[in-house]
Amino acid sequence: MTKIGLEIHCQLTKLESKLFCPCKADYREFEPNTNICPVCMGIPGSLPLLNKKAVEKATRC
Amino acid sequence: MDLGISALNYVSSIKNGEFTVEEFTSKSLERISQVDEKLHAFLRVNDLAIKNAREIDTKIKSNQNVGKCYGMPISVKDNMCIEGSKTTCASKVLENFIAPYTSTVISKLNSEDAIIIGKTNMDEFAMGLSTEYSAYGPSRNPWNIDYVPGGSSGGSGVSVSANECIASLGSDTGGSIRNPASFCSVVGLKPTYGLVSRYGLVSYANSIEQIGPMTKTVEDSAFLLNIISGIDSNDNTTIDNKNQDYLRDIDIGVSGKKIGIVTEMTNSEGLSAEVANATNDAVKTFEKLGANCEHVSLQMVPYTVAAYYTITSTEAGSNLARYDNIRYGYEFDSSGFEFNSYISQARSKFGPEVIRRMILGGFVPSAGHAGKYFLKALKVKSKLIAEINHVFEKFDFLISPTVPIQPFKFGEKIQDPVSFMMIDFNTVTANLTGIPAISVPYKITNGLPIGIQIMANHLEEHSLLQTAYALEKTVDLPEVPV
Repeated sequence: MTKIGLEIHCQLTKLESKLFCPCKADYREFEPNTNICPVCMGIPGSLPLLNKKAVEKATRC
Repeated sequence: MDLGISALNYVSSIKNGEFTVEEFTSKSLERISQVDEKLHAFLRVNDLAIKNAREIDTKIKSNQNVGKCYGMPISVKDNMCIEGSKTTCASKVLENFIAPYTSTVISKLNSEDAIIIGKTNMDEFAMGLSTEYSAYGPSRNPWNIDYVPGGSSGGSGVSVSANECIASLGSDTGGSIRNPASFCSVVGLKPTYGLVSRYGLVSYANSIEQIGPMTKTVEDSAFLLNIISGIDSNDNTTIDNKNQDYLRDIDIGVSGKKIGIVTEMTNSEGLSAEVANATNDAVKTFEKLGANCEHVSLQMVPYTVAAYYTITSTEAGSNLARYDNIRYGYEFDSSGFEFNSYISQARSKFGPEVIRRMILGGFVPSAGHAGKYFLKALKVKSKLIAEINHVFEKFDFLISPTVPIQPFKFGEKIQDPVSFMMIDFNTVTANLTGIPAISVPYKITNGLPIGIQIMANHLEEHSLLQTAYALEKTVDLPEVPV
């Protein structure tokens, strides 16, 4: 049996928050290390929360 | 004042005005300062405990709303984050890590007016079953200080057993709540995967670990589970349990219930005669209480320890990759280092067991080896889940010894890593399948405790606690000698 896997990349520019946390995704006009939280900093014990809209948009592509 | 009282008795004593929160807290701190030099249950004690106690006393006196815990001292394993204080996972790598946020379980305890009395010792990053792998020295078993208290939540087990606090929170990846519960003669519950939020628990193997209560009585575990369980928007794996009350009808009994005695866990090579006798005795007790017990085979069980270490090492390898000592960690000057050499030097502070598992975790899922190790381990896991689903069609509960042996002496087992790992033989099944399991103190033989494990189907904590309660009520154990 032949198995075929597809890896699909899509660039999402209209998300309000980051892919794995509720921090602002828009980095323009912000100082570095402003829109950060324990999740995107990789602080021990934090857990990723997958962005629902990102999944919806990715599956629609 | 009896420091050994249960959580429920503590609450009623406070309500009846028998003592104040401050009185009880200061007695507990006194007890810690008396015995903990010997036992080493705690890595740190909360400096604000007395202040917190006074605040709760004020609330009580002025008839304000007081949370369900009424200021009871609860200890917490040092792998759960509390904002502004140290969380070391008993590792030198996190020696100076101060968490910038609080884990969900601790927020829940705080909002119910518990006092977090201190952070407890553990095997480094929860990898081990005796606290001998703590980078800050082991904890000692209050029943006999020459013996290990179990692990990895060993400090939590000791703190409850030695009456240094009322209850504790541990975490259980392969038995890390139930093993020390059994070795220290306290109740330890590993809930269904997803029932309790892991947000703020430093991850070791995310796909199977859970936080759970370690308490003096089964009722106390139900009481704490009421507080810590339920859906959490910060942990996508949590389950909505609709605020189920685990204390309700806890004394309903086990009449007519079907209990399967797991054959593989009651005739294994490593099972000691003392533990086997205690288990047979527990089975007879259940029969007297009106349950129907019969043997049931779970053929995958002999492969579970191998599967467990393969899966958890893989996840640990991934989880521990973040410890580069750049954003947090311990004080270590980077001047004179090139970037990569700094990181590898910084990571040399991991202890021997953590290093072993990271090496394993790099190897077993790697290209060319995954088919032989990691994928096989996942197959064992799926087959085990199928077996468990099948046996719970016929049985309400499964029973086994919690640990095949009694507590052992320091240094006695640690030399041989593989036979050391086999001590997890009876506990890893509940983690690999996600089902709840509890260890109930059952016997003291030759001065050392033996616990009985009861397992139930997914989200059956309520009936599991009822069954554990029925067994507990038949037991009369001596007081801890320390």
